[in-house]
Amino acid sequence: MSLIRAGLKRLVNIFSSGHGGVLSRFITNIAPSQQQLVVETQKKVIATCNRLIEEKPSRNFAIVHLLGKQWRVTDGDLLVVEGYWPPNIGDKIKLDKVLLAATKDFSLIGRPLVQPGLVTVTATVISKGLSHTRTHFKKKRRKQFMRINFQRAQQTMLRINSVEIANKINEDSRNVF
Amino acid sequence: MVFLTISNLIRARGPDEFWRKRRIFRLAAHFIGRRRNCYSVAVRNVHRALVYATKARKLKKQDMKDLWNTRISAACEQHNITAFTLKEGLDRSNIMLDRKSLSDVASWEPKTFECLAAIAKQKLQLDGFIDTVDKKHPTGVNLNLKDVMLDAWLKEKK
Repeated sequence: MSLIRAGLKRLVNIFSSGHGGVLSRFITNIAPSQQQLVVETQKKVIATCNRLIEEKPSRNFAIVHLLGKQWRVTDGDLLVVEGYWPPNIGDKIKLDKVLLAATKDFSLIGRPLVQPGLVTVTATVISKGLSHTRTHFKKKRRKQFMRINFQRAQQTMLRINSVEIANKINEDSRNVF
Repeated sequence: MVFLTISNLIRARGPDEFWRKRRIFRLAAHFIGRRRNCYSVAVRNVHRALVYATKARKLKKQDMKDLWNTRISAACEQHNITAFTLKEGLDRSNIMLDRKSLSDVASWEPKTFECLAAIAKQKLQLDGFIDTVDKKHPTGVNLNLKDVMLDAWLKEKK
């Protein structure tokens, strides 16, 4: 279970700070006391997060692992990944390795990945091509040594279609793989 | 080497002089003064520029790493922890964000970074790990760990 997070902290702050706060709209019984059981607060935080997801107040972002690199992505982003990568133009893919996902109000932190099925990042391959020519030039002075090579790397351009968080935080994850 | 054909005895001098020079002048087009107009000067400078360009590809990666490190440690200072604490805490709690994404989060998503910092600090506290880095002049605000309720989560074996 890749779970909750320290942003619990932020929500708890909002809970315990009485009136005001972002969540005051959604909460009827404000300000539970400090002595409240931790577990109960946790449940409440999770419930609130789930509700916030349903309301969709803001854009989400996620950090995904792709081809050995980590990318911070949000809706409509354009990624250029370099190197050999099989997907073809027009392919729609789901980026499953989500390390972190967040909205305006809370963030989900994976250890190391958030549970499968919770965060859906979809992307489309929009173009494949080559990078500009990189010149590899070596020269040693006074040694009559000179080498020149040219290289171009394969590049794939990806458009991030959506970053969505499902409202089932803390539910049992069925391993889809 | 034995040359049986007589024409092979002549040293091959490559392509025509005009094209050989033109190739260099093309690369020197954006230089200033004699560096772009005189072949003998231009060719030296073009070679040097190409060597720099080749080496810089590696240097750029190092520079980016340094930049990320600077950003991460600056963001950590805000929360009164050291970059080492952050890295150690996150590693111990199995959060595998790299420098790039940490610095990204630090500069664009400060609230999320604050949470990460709190997790790291809490984890080290639970482990009884003491960061021995001297902090004589705290510059930031201490993290409020009272509200971090992750004991169960952090003690969970992963």
